[in-house]
Amino acid sequence: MKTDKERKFENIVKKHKTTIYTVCYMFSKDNEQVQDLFQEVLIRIWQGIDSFDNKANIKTWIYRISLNTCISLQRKKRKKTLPLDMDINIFEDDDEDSKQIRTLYDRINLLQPFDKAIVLLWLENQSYEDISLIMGISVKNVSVRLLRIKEKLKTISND
Amino acid sequence: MEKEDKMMNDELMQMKKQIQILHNKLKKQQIVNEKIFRNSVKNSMKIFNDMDKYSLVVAFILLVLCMSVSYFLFDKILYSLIFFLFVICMETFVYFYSRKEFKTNDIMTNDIVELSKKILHMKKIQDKFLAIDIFLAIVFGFWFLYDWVNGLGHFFKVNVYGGVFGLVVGLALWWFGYRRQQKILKNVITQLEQITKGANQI
Repeated sequence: MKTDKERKFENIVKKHKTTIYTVCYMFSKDNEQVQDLFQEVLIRIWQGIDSFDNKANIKTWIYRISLNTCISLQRKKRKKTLPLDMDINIFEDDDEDSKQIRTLYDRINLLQPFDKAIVLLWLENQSYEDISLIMGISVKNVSVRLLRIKEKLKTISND
Repeated sequence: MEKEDKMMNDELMQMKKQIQILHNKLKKQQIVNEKIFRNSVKNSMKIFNDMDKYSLVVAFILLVLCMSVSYFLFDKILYSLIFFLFVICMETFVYFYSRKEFKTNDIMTNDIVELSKKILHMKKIQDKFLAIDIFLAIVFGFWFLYDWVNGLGHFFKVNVYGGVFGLVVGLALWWFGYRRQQKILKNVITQLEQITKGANQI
């Protein structure tokens, strides 16, 4: 018999796993690190599920947890974790889709972690208001940063 | 300049398409959130061990109390000593067994089927102890009253009321603790069953 918390957790992960995975992929160097980050995000969601206000936007909350976890853990030494079963390996698979994703990954990874998070949210079609909520900066700051990021990406592609 | 901007826009659009490709790939991905469940098992077993530790301390205090009372009652409550000694031995056994078999690292890494078997075994041991405990507690209850009647003479009434009250409260607390521990073990077993059956795939 599952508890309410477990059911709630399962529903959240089912609904938002793609979002969590996308963030983890963009902040990892290999599949193993994706797994580490993904597990850590799940643990933080599990720990924070009781304090989550149901009236708040769940997607914003998921993005905030995922990005905070990835940005903070990326700098830390990797912990040894149990392997999760994964069917795909974007870093090694040789199909056309994986190549496309690697191109995206290479571009995004030229940016600093904070800028990387902002551009990722923008690519995920999040509004400026939502990006400002998730990242904890003003809407104006989001638009200025995005402009700079686009400029930086432009310079990189010209090079 | 206009051409450059168009190129940039094309590139950003391409990035948006690429992220969509990533989404499509990830939608097919299944997650076995085993670690989460193992963490939950670990936390449950910690509560279980803590409860056992507190029971052990309470049983020890009661034993000391019994010994001091028996000094005044001219060794009339020998049976109480036997009862509490048994409780202490039982709690000590469960505590150390649990500590030995369910180390935090083992819960996180051991084979999940083996872990389930161990917890099931632990639940059975607790059930056996309960059967012995109930038998001893009934005999103890009667003996306890008998000892007090003989040992206290004219203070009989007041002390028997106190003794019976203490006994009822003690048994209620003990029953509550036992039920709670059994519930923890039952939940843990259910969770482990879900993991082994792959029911927790998201």
